[in-house]
Amino acid sequence: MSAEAVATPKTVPAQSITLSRLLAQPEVTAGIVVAVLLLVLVFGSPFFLNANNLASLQTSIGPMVLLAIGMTVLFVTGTFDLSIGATMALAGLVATWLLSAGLPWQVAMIGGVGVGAIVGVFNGVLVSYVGLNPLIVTLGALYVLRGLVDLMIGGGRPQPWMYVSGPEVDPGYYAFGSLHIGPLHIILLLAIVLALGADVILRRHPIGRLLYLAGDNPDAARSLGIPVRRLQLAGFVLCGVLAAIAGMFIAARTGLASRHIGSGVELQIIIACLVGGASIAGGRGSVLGSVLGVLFITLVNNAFNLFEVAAEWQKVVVGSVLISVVVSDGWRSLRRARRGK
Amino acid sequence: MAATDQSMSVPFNLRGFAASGGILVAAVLLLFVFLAVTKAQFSAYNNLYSLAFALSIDAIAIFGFTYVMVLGEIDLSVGAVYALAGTLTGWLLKVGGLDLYPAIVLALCVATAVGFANGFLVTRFKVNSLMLTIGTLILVQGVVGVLATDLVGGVYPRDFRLLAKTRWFGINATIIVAGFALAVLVFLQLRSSLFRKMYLVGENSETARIYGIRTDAFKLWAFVASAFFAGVGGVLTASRLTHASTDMGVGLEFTYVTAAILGGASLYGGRGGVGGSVLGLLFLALILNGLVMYNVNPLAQQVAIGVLLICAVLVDMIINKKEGA
Repeated sequence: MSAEAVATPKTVPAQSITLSRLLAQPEVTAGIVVAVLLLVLVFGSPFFLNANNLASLQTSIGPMVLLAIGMTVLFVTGTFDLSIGATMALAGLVATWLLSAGLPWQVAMIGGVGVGAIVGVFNGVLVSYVGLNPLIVTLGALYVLRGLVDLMIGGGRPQPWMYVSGPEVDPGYYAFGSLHIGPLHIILLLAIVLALGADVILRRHPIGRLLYLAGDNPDAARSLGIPVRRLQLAGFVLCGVLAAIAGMFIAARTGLASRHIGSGVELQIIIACLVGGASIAGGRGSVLGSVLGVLFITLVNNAFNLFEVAAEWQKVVVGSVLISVVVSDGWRSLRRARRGK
Repeated sequence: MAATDQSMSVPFNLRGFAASGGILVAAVLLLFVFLAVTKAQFSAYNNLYSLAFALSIDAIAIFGFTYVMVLGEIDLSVGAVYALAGTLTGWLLKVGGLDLYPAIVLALCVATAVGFANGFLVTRFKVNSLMLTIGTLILVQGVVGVLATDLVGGVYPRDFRLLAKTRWFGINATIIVAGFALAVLVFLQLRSSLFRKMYLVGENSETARIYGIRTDAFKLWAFVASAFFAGVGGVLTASRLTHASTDMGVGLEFTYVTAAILGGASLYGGRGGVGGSVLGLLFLALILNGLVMYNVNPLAQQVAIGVLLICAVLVDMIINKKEGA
């Protein structure tokens, strides 16, 4: 089973493409679901193609794609990170705080990225080098970071320094939230470029192969001399940095570094990655699949808003989707194991 | 791993269990004495009693959850199921027009069914329980939200509100029930061969299967028990809250993971027990109570829990050298 999985993400040789094999590729299934959802939205709602709706879709998809890239790399190497939402909030807050202290926007953003990198190093060292369970470590990090956010804000109403625009504040940071080239927001462009780059690296570059090997069979990878720990640590740092950028973008976009930034987003991103073919067991998943997963989650979100269904039902649908994805994945690998024998 | 060289009569790593358990008992005692000596209002009867009352409800809800962890699985839907049972009881009373006891029984049946579904899917399709129960968590939270919006603005009927306040022999019935159930379960953990087998399954389910133990049945019923006990705790909590709230049970699963790990459980299974989990809950409750007494910014509580969680796992790992999680 491992040899087969190592050769991923594209295992199907050109000559043997059959319909059932094609459908077994998670990216294909996810792509079909997204396409159907798009058709329903385009023809079902007069507001979907509205400029405002498209703009808000871009600014919600952009940060989610950044998060999904980091999480996919972690899933591929066989681990995950629950602290991304809290990292977003803290990075946004720290950057805004630096900004309101009168520093230029570049310094503020470097500070925010620094927060993400520190969180990544913390998680990565404890998980990969000390060997603690990623669930516990990143959950603990989630608590600590959310607590730090609350301590910085001090409870109650947003304070003046938490706003990213004002007379004494460098306008560059606010511009990051609203800048667009043609109809495309800067964050979406950044997300597309990074996603394409990450997808190509995972599929084609030797580093990508190492990551899949490290996640698929860490012991074998280690005995082959692959620096599994360092790769995982790098994955955590990447994840933290991307989360920080996403958090700073949302603060800049909404004009306020709120404590609610990124709350609950970790589970949404995990669902997006699983829908796109990643597995908690490691060694599987692709950025393309996870991006399709993100599209799925945001479009479902959008559909519920446009069709004015209560937000609670959205959770019911997303939860059911996750359960069916997890169960069908289990069912498929059971069948594969039986055939193998 | 360790099960292969230990005979059936030693069901779990006694040394490690005693070591981590001993540290926790000492920590709880120290904290208790410290707070009692330094803060007069801590040892006031009212404060201790309300601590015990709150702990009794949380303790009931953690029993089944602990056994899921002993078996090496995890049930993150515990907080959502807890909220579901409580909110559904209220909904059946106010919208469905049922009487109190039929409503409670029906709500507990629904909660237990969720646990059965979790257990069935985990054992039948060999799926990762962490991922599956995140799905259940979100789904059930959605259902709770739907029920709670139906109930917005009103309090629950009087008989339901009074349920958690029921007193037997002058103290709250929940304390007696929790204490009795805890004693029975701890006794069973020590004496029952069924529970001994459960620890064996948790420690190494392959070895257990070779011994002829039906590992899947244990896991299935542990998930059922987790949902049932969470449901009972949720019904009592809803009665105590007196009205529907979408915040109910949110994040409870993480508190429970922390408490169980503090109490000696491991994410890899085979260790822990209800005694340890309840001690873990008590430790967390004392910490939070102490922070309030010392006027520490309540916002620092989350930081404290997060640091504790990581420290508990680190200490556990140092004690058990590599073996722990």
